Amino acid sequence: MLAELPFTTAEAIVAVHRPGARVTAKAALRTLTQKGLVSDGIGIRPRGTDGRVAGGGHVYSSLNLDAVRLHRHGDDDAARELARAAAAIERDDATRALATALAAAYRGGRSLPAALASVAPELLTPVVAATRRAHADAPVFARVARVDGEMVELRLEHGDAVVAVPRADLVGVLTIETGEGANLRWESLGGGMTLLHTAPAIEVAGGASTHPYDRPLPSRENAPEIPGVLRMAPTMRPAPFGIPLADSQ
Amino acid sequence: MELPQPSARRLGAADSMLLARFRCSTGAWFEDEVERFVRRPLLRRDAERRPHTGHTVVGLELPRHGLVAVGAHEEDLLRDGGALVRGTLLVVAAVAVGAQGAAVGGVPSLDADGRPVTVGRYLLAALIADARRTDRAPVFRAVVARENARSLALCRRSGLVHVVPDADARFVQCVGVLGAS
Repeated sequence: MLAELPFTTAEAIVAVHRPGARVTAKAALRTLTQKGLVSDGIGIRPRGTDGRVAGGGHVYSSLNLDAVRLHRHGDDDAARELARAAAAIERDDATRALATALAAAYRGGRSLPAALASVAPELLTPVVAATRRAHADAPVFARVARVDGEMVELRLEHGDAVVAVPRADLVGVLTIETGEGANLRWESLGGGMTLLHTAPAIEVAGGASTHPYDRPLPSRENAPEIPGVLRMAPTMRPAPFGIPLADSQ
Repeated sequence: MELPQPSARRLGAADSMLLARFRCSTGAWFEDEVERFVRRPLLRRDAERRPHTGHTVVGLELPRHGLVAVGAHEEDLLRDGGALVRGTLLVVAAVAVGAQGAAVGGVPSLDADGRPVTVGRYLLAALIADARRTDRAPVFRAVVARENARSLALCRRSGLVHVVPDADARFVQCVGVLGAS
């Protein structure tokens, strides 16, 4: 099952904040953080092959990507709310544990997606699930289906639709291997213009998340067992007064 | 504090801004999760699931207080041995910070001890009343954080008195059966 990367980088945040602009990530991010539009992120101290700390890095909850999108669209209240949700996820024990494992996985110049993919699933899944729960929009996932000259065809996970993206736009973002997962977000700019952001996705263990808000549609297979429910005597009484319910506006 | 009887309304996509401003958390982790869920993902979930489960979002509103409570219900499937029961899942029930603990004036008590009806109790009654209009069995289930003493007490008073563990160790399932009126 594909999922959005739970972490992103300063460069990616700045790129989403100002698509196509050439800005220094450090300065731009400092301004966004000071305004409460981006969270503080987590320090990652990867180790070199000799086991010693090799440089330092910083990753951010991927919710910050949505936060800067909302800011760009003028909804700073929603952007700050997402940045606060990002900060809460970054402070969480499960995220700290993932960051520790990520530092160990960041050997030999691995990319962030590759490093995350190598981390134990039980460390990755809770953070992925928490990130997904905080999103307002459901992400769209696709897989690399075919490379046709200068275009890469991405087949959407649900249905048969194919999205063609210029190969040049994906260099450095995906490895562009058949079957590789990608996360797609479209932004409508009006006037027939649409901005497509393609980001790597990772495989996470299949099966339902256990959080109540994450559970799949009810089915015979996932129905919880409540022994004796068919023989339970009534424990609830209807209200003795009517509660009229108007339809949505 | 006593509030007038709120009006109940099904909420939809047009209410996204209304929900985006809803506040119900006083700082506990489970309250934070409910608030984040209600403010944005709830309507997305509603749109995705309504065609399959009859997912319905209900809001309680007052003229001078705005949205005082939000809840949702949908079709639920439970197993009892080999048998499948199609009941109702109370997906979420949240009371705005300013209305927590407030009594609803002008409605008879729902409890044998004559306790005033709180906004939370009224919200559950509204969700249950709406679910009764479907053809589901009169079995109701809510999944509540173990640490959420207030919601567990609300479930007990509302008759969801059978408490069993949930697949997620942080939560329990509260189950009740609605009798005939």
